[in-house]
Amino acid sequence: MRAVNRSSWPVWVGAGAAFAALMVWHRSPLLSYTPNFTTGYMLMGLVVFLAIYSGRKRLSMLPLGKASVWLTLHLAGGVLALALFWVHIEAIWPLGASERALAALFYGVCISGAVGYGLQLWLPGRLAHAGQEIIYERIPAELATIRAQVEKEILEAAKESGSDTFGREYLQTLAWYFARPRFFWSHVFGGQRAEHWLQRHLNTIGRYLTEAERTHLARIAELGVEKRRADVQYAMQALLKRWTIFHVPLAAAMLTLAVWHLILVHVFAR
Amino acid sequence: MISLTDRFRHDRSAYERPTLGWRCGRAAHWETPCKLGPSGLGICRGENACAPARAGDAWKCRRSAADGGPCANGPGKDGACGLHRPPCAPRRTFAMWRGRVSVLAVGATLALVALLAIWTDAASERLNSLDPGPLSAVHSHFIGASSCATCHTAFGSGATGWWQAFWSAKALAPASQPASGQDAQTPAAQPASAQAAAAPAAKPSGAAASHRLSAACTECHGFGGQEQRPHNRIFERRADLGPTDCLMCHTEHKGRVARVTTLSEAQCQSCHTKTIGDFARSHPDFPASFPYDHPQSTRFNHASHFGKHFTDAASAARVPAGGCIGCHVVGQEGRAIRPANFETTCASCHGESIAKRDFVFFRWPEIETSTIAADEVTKACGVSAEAQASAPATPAPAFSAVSSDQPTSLSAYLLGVPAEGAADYEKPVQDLARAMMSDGVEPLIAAVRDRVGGAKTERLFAGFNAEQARQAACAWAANQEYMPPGKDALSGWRADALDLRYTRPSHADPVVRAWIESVAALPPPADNDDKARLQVARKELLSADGPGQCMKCHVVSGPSEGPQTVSWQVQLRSSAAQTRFDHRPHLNLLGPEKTCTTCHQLGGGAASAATGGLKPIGLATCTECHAAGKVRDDCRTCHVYHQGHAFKKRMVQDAK
Amino acid sequence: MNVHAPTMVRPHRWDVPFDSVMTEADVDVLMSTPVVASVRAEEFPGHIPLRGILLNDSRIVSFQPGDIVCREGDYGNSAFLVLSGAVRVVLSPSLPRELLGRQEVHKKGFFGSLTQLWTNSRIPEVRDTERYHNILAQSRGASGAETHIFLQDVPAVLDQHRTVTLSIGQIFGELAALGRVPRSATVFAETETRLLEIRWQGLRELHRYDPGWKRLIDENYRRNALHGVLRTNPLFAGLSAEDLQAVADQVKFKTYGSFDWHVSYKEMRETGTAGEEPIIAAEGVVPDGVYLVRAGFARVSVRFGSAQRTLAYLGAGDQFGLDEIYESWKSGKPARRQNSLTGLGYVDVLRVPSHVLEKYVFPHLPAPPPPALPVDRPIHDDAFAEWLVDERLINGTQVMLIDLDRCVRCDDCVKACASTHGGNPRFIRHGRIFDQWMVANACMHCRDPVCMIGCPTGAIHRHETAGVVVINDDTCIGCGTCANSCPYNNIRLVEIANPTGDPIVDGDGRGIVKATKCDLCVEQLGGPACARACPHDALSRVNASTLVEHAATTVPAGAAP
Repeated sequence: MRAVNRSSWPVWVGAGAAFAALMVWHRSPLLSYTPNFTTGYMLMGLVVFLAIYSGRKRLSMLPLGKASVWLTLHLAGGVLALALFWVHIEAIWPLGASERALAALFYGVCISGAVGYGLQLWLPGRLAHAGQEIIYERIPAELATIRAQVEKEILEAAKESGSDTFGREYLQTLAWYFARPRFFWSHVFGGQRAEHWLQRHLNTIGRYLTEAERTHLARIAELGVEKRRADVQYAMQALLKRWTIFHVPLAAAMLTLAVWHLILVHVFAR
Repeated sequence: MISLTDRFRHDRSAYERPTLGWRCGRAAHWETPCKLGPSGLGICRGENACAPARAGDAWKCRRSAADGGPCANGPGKDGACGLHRPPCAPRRTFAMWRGRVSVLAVGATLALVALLAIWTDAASERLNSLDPGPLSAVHSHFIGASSCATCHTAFGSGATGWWQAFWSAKALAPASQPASGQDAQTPAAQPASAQAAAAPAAKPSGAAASHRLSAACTECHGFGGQEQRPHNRIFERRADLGPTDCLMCHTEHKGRVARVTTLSEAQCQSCHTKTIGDFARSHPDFPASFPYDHPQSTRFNHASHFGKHFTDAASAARVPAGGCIGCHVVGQEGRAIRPANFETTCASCHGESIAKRDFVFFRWPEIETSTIAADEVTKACGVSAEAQASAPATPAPAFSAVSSDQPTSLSAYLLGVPAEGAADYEKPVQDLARAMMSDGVEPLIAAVRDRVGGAKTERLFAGFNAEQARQAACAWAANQEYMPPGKDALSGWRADALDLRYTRPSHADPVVRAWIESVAALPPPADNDDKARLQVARKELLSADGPGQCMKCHVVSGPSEGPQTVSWQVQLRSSAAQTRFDHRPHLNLLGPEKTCTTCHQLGGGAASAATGGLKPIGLATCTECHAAGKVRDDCRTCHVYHQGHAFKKRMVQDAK
Repeated sequence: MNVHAPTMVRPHRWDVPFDSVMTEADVDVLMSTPVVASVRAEEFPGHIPLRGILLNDSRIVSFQPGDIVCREGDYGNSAFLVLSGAVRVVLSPSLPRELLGRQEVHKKGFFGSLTQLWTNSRIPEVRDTERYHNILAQSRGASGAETHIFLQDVPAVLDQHRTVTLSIGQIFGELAALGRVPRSATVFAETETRLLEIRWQGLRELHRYDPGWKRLIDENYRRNALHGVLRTNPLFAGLSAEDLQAVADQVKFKTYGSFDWHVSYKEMRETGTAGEEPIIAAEGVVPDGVYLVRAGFARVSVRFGSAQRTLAYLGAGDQFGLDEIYESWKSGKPARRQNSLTGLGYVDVLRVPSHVLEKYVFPHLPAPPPPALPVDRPIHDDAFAEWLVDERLINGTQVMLIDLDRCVRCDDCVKACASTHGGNPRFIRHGRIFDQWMVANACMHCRDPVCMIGCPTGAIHRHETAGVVVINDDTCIGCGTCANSCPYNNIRLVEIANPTGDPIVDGDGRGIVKATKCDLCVEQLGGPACARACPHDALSRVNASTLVEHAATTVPAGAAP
């Protein structure tokens, strides 16, 4: 696991030590009061610290330390927060509508974070060796260029052969493939559906084409492979970006509800 | 595909700007985005491919190389770009979407919280954003829209109330009336508990600070002793222990089936810092004579009875049958299994010996010189034929007293005279006799009332035969022994020869008991002679061979100079009020094979006398079953926290 | 099109002269001085007349005795001609740094950095055109009186340091200006001195069009370069002054490749055909001396299969070919070169002949460690280094290297870059890839910054103290010379806009462009924001030479700045 590498072990050891200290404290006989207030405030502080990670991204002009250290702290803090959360609520699932909502959001943030980090560990290596590296924002232009070249090939083929067989077939089947990224999840999981689809359709068309048209078909097959590479980049990069659509808004809602919880606790629970 | 060189060439590959909020709508449709891109406000700016430049009279296309160089159409005659494209609808970038969704999530959360906080009708209770979870079954009858306010005073108190409540745990605490009189149902209600229940504001700050929720608990729940002291009354005087409050241990809203009173070991250990992790391994051992170490308990040596007396052939017939249960009644008792009464247990052997020990209250002593003239006696007592007959006509020239005894220790104390040396006591005794001859027993009773009995004097002389006593005085004054009318008189008060005695006392005889109690309870007199005389009297009366042999079994406690108390009842262990034990589950579980002797065994060695001849029960006896992985072994199996828990009267009244 | 587009006058070379105080009268005076008078003005092309160069690319600066003219280690883009008085060049030892009054890099303060949070524009490439006008007005109106740092105790300096005097008509500073290397010595005014400071662009024109200046510059250049190299090379550390002079007298000079090597290299990159690298020393021949690289890069290679296998690459200060000569001298047996040395682009080398070494150097020299060239390693281990050399990435001192196995493509680096540059990124997160290593399109702050060649206004320059190559946006005219020069396509021209987002155009309606690139956050706190902003430690700014060393000894995983 990359976050647990040689340089970040102090953070993880620190988090473990913090949790051990917490457990010792929590079970210690020196408490003068129910520990839930204290653990609650600790948890609130920790969650706010975790949320500040997003602020660090916006304040990159300030010398606030390396973002990689922040990420390690974010990860270790997240794991610590989950442990602290369980200590705080003394259960896995609380009672009461607002607390259940809060717990649901908290778990949502945890799960989305874990999934996101899993994606970050899993996908980059595959992206790096998936052929053409393309900046995400440039994928539409890339696809458009490929499409234009495919259509140029089709037009040339039609001009040469005087037949619209190829063109019609393109519109009916291949155009679907070249229109936009396809086989999203197959690409994410490293499946072969795109290759098979393309091969099957090109073979089907090939039967009905003249020899001259087949040279264009071969060129289109190459472009199809190029397009598939772009699709692979698109699928994985999109996933690497999109998981945050769960993590960040859930965290925002969770923080909001946590503040409400804090108010309620102060007003009612003492 | 974009060629490799184009991809990197500085003039074909512009900066990507992921910080922008909008992207070209064409890119969203997987078409080539225009170079210019949307404006900061998301308005399409890419309608024209270029801004043609005037070249003389004509216009020149200036589409950049990055866009594909000059276009085929070329500019129009008016200089307008020939590649006019319909404007696109720019799309928000992903980062902007995520920001909007986040804001929306916050807004929706706030809206939902506000909506569900306001919408409080009963049907929606489970969806209320204030809902902290269901109450336990015992409290679950606090229902209804305003029921929260029963405990949570901030409920419905408006923004001001919430504001106060947020910042102070004491604000809005229920203003209880002074609770004296309302705690009538609380056993051992004491002024201290009344104080504790009083409004926190009235108390000095810090001493017993009350959170408003704890104050709400004690609206209904009362305890023996102060409510906010550890263990209520047990540590009432320990100033070093800080106040406690209910919320330290009790939580609510943990579900209907949750037990509010169920506590964890950790909660005990939060104060009891000598942590007992495991009962079997780390609980301190029980006291040396546990559980037979009640100092006021009636003396009974199980070992000698079972070992010696019960096996003696002579007494075998009188031994109660059935071993332990011959004496102990195993019924529905829980904590202690008491022996049955004296008559069914001890009387068969010990009943007779009680009757043998009379209580000699007063004895007319030997004197050297009689100052009571014969005519005085005659005048005061009248002349009985008998007496006259036996009386000598003239006093003998050398006086020889009829009594050769000293006064009893009790009478010496009563009269304030020494018990030895007739010269010292003969005058007060003869004065008494003179007074009794003329006034009956009243002077004697007055002395008793004065020095012993006080208000209880009536009980001391229950069934006292005043006339007989007077006649005994007359007889002695006449230097004769009083001869009661019937020698075989029944038990009770009687005068016999020179004595005033109480004969043939039975077990639990009220008169003997009253005398023993009264004398034991006397404080040491100020006068040293009196003190010494009382000590002698006390010693005689409270000795094992004293009247009725009471003290053979019953225990007197208190300072030897008095006042002392006598424990008549069998006392079983009660010193540790915070511990509990129930025989019932043990008897049921152990079954017929396992009798009392599983735990209670004869013997006990050196401490045998203190433990009634039983082997003390040690920790090991309990841990045989109560241990981790076996039978429950947490603190609360045996220990209780609260003392004297009861509902307050007001709560019951309110309920009506 | 938008007829109300904001307009400005298209900037031209010499719009911003070197010093606006220079007047035609000054030029007249200059033209009469002997050094200038000897210049053949007729050789200059019509659009770059000599007078124009003097007026716009030079200025007259006055110094009081003790004033420091330039400091050792400075990056400077100008040379000086002594008009009157005299200056002293401090040869050795160097003056202590504090005596030179080193200026700290102007960094933003914490609050200054923070203000970027709200001052950064959401509109790309916004410029305040008022600012350009103000700058132009200021520079024209500004007086020539500059503040100088002066040496407190000149006699002590003269006493403790070896110095030489330069008097009227002599030139100095041209090494740094032309060789794009740091100033090699500190120069201070000995008497009241007037100097003609010629910026590099002007110097280049003089060098190109006037044979007299060309000879003067070349002679100075070679003499001073030699001394600089010999003094700093440990090989000659044990030599007495006389011996050193003797060595210096016999050293040979040669320059390989074209001064504008990047042009042919870029063509090669685009056409894919590699030109022949000039051979400096060939493998298998009898060694004729030790080569010392003074500027540029050279490749050490050995024949492997049908091609040359790179063993190392040499940059300024490195030497080549000592071992064989030493072995030969030691054993008395003739030796042959084991490797060959070829020029990568422009290389300036000195050759110390074998007999000179044998006479002056070897007797004092402790036996050098045996050569540790890794010929036994599998070629795959060297592939990364080979690639770096092939791509000329060895030039970079701040290569943006991204580990694609770690990079999650979050663009945090680009966003961080934008946040420190007014909302505009200054690099593109793509580039050439070797295995999982991507060298992104970000300025590498090259050792040999070819981008600076040809900038007509000097807008692109080495930062005074940090040595980072930066572009002065105020003086950039958007000609694109630097962008076209950069072999790595790391400079981009952007169309600027006013704060409302409208593109700024000239009178013809054409957009005004500015050259932009990474400035290594020279004004920011905490160094390059991109490397700091990477949550996965995937991005680092590394020096290519350490990178090659790393790559040659370990797998590239050790790449670290």
